[in-house]
Amino acid sequence: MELTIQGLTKRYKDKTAVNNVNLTLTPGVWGLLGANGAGKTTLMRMVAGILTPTSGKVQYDGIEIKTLGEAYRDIFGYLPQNFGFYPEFTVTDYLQYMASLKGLPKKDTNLKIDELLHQLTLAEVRNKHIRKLSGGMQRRVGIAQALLNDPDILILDEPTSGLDPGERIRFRNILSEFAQQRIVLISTHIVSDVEYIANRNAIMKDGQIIAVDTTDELVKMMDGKVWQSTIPTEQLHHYERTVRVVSVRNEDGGNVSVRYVSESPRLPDSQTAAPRLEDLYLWLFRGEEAVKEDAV
Amino acid sequence: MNRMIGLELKRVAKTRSTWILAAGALLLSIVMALLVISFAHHWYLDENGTEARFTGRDAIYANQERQKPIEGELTPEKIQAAFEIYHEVYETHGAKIENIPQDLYYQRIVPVNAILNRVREVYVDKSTGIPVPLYEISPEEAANFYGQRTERLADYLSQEYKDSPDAVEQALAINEKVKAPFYYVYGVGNSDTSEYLTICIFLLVMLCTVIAAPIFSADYQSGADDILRCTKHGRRRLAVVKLLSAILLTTAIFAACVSAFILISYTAFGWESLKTSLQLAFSAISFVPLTVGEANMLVVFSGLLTFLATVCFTLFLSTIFKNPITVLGLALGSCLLPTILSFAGSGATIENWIRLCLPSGGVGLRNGFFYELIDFNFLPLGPISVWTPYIIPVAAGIEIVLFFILAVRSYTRHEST
Repeated sequence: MELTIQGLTKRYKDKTAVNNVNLTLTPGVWGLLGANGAGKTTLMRMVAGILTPTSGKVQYDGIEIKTLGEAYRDIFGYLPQNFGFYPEFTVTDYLQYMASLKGLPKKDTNLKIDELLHQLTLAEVRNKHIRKLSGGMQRRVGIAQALLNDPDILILDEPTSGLDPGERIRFRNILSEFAQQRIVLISTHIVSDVEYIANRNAIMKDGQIIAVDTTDELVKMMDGKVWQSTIPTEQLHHYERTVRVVSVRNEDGGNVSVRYVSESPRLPDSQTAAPRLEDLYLWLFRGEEAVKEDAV
Repeated sequence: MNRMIGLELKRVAKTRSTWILAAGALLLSIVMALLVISFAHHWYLDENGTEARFTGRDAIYANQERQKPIEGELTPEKIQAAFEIYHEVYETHGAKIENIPQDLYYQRIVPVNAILNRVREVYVDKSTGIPVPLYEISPEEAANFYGQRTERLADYLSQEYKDSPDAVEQALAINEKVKAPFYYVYGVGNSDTSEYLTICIFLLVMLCTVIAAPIFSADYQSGADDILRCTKHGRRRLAVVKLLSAILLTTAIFAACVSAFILISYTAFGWESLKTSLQLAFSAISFVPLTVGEANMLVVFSGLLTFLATVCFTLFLSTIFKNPITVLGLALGSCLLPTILSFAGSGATIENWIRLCLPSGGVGLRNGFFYELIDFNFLPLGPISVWTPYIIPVAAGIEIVLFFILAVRSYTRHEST
């Protein structure tokens, strides 16, 4: 099973959102990292077949997805960044509606819905209107609909936004279990979400893929570039302007422990630190604001 | 497919705005029917000899009682008898109503007025086109009402369509199917039922446009469509399902509302009155071979086609635009356009073709199928003339299929940016 993206480009009037992207997705969880506006959503929409590329193509096992049509959509699950739902529906109504669109046999539908509602801890709100649920719960309903047809290809655009730390852990576990022999592509700008579950990552910047590799290999790129130093609190402001600070932790005695990325040590008494994916992200997106989330 | 239609129907029916609009439409239909009943009036002389008036149901009962003697087939003998009564009164008191004693007027003239008025229509001074005074029509001449009517119709059509002999021929050919003697029972034909039925359908078209407008566009706007169209049946089949569900639901609303209107108004005015010839309800020289009941049935049928054409057109717009308000504005604008053209248009041929061929061309405030049916309108189409009541249902029928197909095509190809 292979999803091949070849020379994919999407150009709007005055902007190239995705520029000649080439990527071959194999079974496993793929993280698609990039800052806001990097082109992740546009790329995913083209892979989902709901946006026509300006040039290039997406093939599933050698056949263009446009040619596959219904057959491709039958093995496909998608959660867009903005989860639009029908406010008049209860959770069960909505999932039944989606199950019928996905062609699930009526006899299997209720069983599948029950299973997903329990997995995503939505069983208690199954008869509630979706509009009355919290943002996190609504997101979980969105994930449930994407999983309804046990898709071979699952595309999730910012699936964890709005989820609390507990929900994110649960989501990662479900996904790790689910991803066996399936292609799962998760786009996020929350690095810690994919760090733990993605087998491979693609990093996107300005519409292009700038790095593709396993998490370990990508992290190796940062060897010797991640530093840690303890400095007086009053100097923090000065150093923040000269180096890319990853994190800051308060220490005793009016000091702060600073983790930063740089080609060479820039702060007094700097020690090298073990690199993480988040460091790479910040290194690659110097000058852009990254969302730092505590690892959970 | 059935399961999908069931779930889509459930979805649309569960929308609060659908319920509110459906309930509003039903209430409106009932109110319109009650309005028509309230418009009925009956003048009489009370115990003190002064003129008084009933309205509503009482008026209908009183009129039914008063006109019972002339009910049934309007035979030449019946017409002659009515004129003998008139001449009897005329010879004593003259033609001016104010000179006729009120009690005599109410007892003798009013019960046969329906006959006198229809006869007056067909006896016209050929040089001026002005109706001949009733006292100049003898009872024997009046008995020739049916012969005179055909002559008057031919004269009228020849004057109206001097340059279109084809239109005259067609009208006279249709007229040959008109059954004589005419049939008369006081009731629906004497009321504004047909006009209000047209207005009721017009308002239903507007309300159901509001229901249909967001069917696709709201999904585009909310982003729900991105998920739907990534599913196995999320393209052509979903489009067909959404269209069929919207059509089924709005048709059900149409059926319920029109049934309510008809049941209330017909029951009030009497079902027997539906047998009245159209010529005795609207114009004696009408060449349409229908009864009031048959004409109203055609108004409903044509109204349904117009309704469906407008709903399909609105759904088509909904597949194009992302904003339901834009769709609603355009759809309501197109609903009102035939009415605006009929009020403010120049009456040019091309304008009339456009007015009648628009999806909502069959209904309006003072235009639509009913008005074309009781009028004498033909429109030229190259060398031939087309009777306008034919244009509306044919255009609507074509548009239903056309906009359905276009909507499926447009939805399948839609791509949000």
